Formats: sequence, structure tokens, C-alpha cells
Amino acid sequence: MPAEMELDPDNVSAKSSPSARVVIPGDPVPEIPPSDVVILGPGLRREGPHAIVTRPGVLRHKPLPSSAEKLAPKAIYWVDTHAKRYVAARGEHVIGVILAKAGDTFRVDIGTSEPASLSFMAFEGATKKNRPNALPGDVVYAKLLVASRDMEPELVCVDAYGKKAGMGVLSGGGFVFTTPLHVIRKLLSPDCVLLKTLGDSIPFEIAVGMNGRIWVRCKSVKETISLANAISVAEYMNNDEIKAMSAKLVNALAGF
Amino acid sequence: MRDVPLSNLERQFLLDALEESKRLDGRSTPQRRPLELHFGRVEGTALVSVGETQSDHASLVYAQASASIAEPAVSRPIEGMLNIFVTYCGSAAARFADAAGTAGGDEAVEVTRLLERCLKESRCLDLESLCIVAEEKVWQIRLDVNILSAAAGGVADAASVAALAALAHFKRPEVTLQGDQVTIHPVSERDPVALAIHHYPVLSTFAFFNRQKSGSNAEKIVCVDPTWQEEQVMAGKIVFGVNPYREICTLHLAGQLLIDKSVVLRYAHVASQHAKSVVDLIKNQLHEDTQKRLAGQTEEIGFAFAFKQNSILQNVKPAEMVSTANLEHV
Repeated sequence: MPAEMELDPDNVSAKSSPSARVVIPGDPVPEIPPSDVVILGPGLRREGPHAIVTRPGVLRHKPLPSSAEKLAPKAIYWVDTHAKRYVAARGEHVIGVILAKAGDTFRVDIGTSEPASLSFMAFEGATKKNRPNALPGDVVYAKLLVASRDMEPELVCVDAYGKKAGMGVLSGGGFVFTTPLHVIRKLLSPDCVLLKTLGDSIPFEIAVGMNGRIWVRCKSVKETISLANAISVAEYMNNDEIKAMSAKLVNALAGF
Repeated sequence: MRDVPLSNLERQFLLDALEESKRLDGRSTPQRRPLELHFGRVEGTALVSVGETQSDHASLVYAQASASIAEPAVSRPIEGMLNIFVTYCGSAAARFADAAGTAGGDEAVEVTRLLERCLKESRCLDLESLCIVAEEKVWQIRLDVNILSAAAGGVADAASVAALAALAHFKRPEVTLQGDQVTIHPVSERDPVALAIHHYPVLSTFAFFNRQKSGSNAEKIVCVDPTWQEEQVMAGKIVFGVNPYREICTLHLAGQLLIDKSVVLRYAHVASQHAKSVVDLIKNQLHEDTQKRLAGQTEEIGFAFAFKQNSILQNVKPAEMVSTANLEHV
């Protein structure tokens, strides 16, 4: 039978280290030992010597491999939230739509409150004379170089070595659709079997943007639409259900 | 604010899918989205939703009819007046979010004109019956159409159903004349009277797409009840205002399209079948609403009751504490 959940936050730390609990913004995080060095992930913010929750969801943590360094972090804490609106974060790969050219940069819509800027030079092999052939309306897969609350986000389509690493204008057809952000995180987590299972039977190409947009391309229109629907409905499924759904999908596509 | 722009990829994909007669939401090309109609507690209010209710992919229109007394137009001294006002709610779509957006722009003008041509110029409402004293007093019916959600397209079609339903549902106060004396009876004294509607013209939108491979003379691809993305990609559209008697009241062509007259007649027939089903829907809902009001079941009329039917709160379960001990599978 479910145990009584105590609503008194002061007694939470008295419980025998819960592995996960529901938090709302403003909650303190007594699980973090004050003497430890930890990494605060999304949903948590530091207020003086304490950490405070900023997004509603489930608080989780993971211990990090121990290191000989004195100030090596011991664990990482974060909050799993359900959200649709993307907030730019540095280093994330996103899918954007080019809105316009402005001088030497493209203005790209990535779903944030402001369009991001993408410089002409931030493509592989681009020089002043050799401009990338991207037009307004094209879809790009890029990485966020600058993303802070106070400035407009900046994108690049090259990695630190100057290679494209899969980024750039997405071409050759395909379909772009939007999903909530937690579906993206689920897709990309190593535990989720969705892409692997579908890939065993349907050859496809996919680009997953952390801003909630996904680009897929299969050989035929029917397969592309089915794949997009399969990803959208897998939002609340566990791995067994995903496997069953994929099997049904493949049968339907083969015509049985 | 601007809407998320439709990328070139999506446009191309939409056209490729249409070549195979596939639409992105799984409908076939002649298939319309489901339409739901609810009447409010106040007489003359109607709410229409097209598509799955309460999602990002539904269009929602609210129409309200009201009456006031005014002087008739000099050129038509024995006729009442019907005025239609269309407004877009700020949350209808991202493009309407700011002050400049709520004016509506070209879209609002198009929808307003379509409704005016469909309802006013077709003279579906009997305006002579709205006359109280010739040249002095007539009823002026004001139809307010609020577009609550426009993200999914199909706004004109939904708005015409809502406007018609509001007119059919509305009741004006009873008026009696004794010599020179005009008495307008309050609702408490005499039951209000419904408006006289001759016929019910309903708008129906058809989007046309050019085939990519064959020449421009080839037959075009036609979709009924286009979504917003389909409207961005289409070559042109025809909007019919047809009543169930197959009389065409409104014909509106937009875009870059050359159409044969046989095409117009064929789709007018399809539009008239839609009009018939809409009129049946309005009449059934109106009948149910009237029965409930006559039986005194005031708890079961109005929007609140209609929405409760869809709510998960309909299923009752005794309160119990929820365990958060096992959150690994969230």
C-alpha cells in the first residue's frame, strides 16, 4: 500500500535517502550535503550556500565517478520537467528555420523568444568569397554557441575543429515536426530503444533538435509520416510498449 | 510576434505527400475535420470547434447575436439591419499576439467579407420581419464573431457555422403595437421570439494544388477543409457559400488559379452536402437545447455543461494519497 507522503518539507531529509521526489519551484534541496561539491543541472539554481528548485518536476541525482582532485564534484542533481517552450542553453544542438539574411548573418528561428543569429562564416569551408548557399525558409541543424538570458542566441554550424560534424542545411527532402522537450530527452537517452527498434526495420535519417524539433527522412512519404507519428505517440510508453508499437508499425507499412 | 515560418522542406513534403493523396493529419483529400457545436446559456451564443477539441490543432470560434432598436436606413425604411463584426482573440495564434495583430490584418478582412456576403447579401435573415415602425424603429441585429483559436486553419468555415447557429439560437423581445403605442415586452412578461431565417448558407473551403510533374493543364489536387499549413502551400482556393438546396450564395476565388466551370459546379455540390449536414447539426442541437429549457433543466444547458462532458472529472474516484515512492518510470 502506498506510504503516507509527508507534506512537511522539514522532515524530508529524515527519510532514508529517496532516489527521486516531486518538487515545485521554491523548494529547498536538503538532499545535497552542504559540504559536498556538486553540479547543479537544469531546474536548480544556487542561492548563496543553498540550492533552490526553479522548475516543477521530479528531482533526480546521479553520483559522478570519484576523482583524486580536491574539488571534483561528487554528484549531479537536476529536475526532470515536462515543457514545450524551449529556453536556449549553450552547447545544445537545435533545428532552426532561416527567417532572413541580415548583413553577414542569418536570422534563424529556433523557438526561443528572439530569433538567433548564424554567421555566414560559421559553415564548413566558408570564406568571404565562398558563401553558404542557404536561403530564407531552409532548415538548419546547428549548435548554440552563445545562449544567455540577456543576449540574443548565436548559432554555429561547425564544431571546434572547423568541421561540419553533421550540422548545416538539411536538404534532400524530409519532414520537420515538433514534440515536447521531454520527448526529445527521452529519445536521446541511452535507455530508450525507440530509434534503435525502428531503425532495424525502416531505414531512416534523423536530426533531433533540443528545441523540440525533429527532422526525419525515409525513402517514401508513407514511411516518413509513420515514423513521425511513431515518435510522437511514444511520449508515455515504456520500452516494452515501444517494441510492440514498432512491430505493429512495421507490419502495417509492409501491408499486412 | 510572428508565427513559426513554414520551412521549404515542409512545403515540399506537403506537396510530395499530396501527390500521393496523403495529408499530414491522416485525412483523405475529401475528408473534413469533425465539427462540434455547443450553445450557451444566453440565447444567441454558439461555440464551434473544428478538429480535435482543446488541442493545438483545433480552430475555435465563438459567435454571439444581440439586438437593439435603431432607425432604419433611408433607402430601406421597412427593413431591419444585420451587422457582422469579426475579431481575433490575442491568443488565437502567435501572429495575433500583439496589438497590431488583434486588428487581424488581411485574414480578418477576408473572413469578415466572406461572412457578410454569405449572411447579409444572401438575405438569409428575414429583415422585413424586424421592422417595428416603418421609417422610425427597426431591430438591428449585431453578430459578434470571436475567433478564439486560429492556429489550425478552417476559420471561415467554422465562423459561418457559429454565426448561423447564433442567429438560429437567438431570441429577440416580443413587440406589440397599439395604434401609435409601441410596447417592447421584457422577457419576464412575454417569451422572446426567434428570428426568421429563410435558408442556411454555409461556407466551405476547397484548396487547390498544382501537380508537380505533369504540365499546368493537368487536373489539380483538391483538398477540402485545408489546415493552416495547407493554406500556406496551396496555389489557390475556392470558398463556396451554399445552402442545403444547392443554391450558391457566395463564390470567392483566391490565389493564382484558372478553373473550369465544371469544377465549380462539382465542388458546389460537395459544399451543399456539407451545408446539409451542418444544418442538420444546428437543428438537432437547437432542438435538444429547446427541450432542456422547456423541461426546466437549467443545469444541463450552456457551455459549462457541454465541456464537463469532455472532462476527466466526469469519472469519480474517492480521494486517496498518491505514493511518490516509485518514480523511476516517470
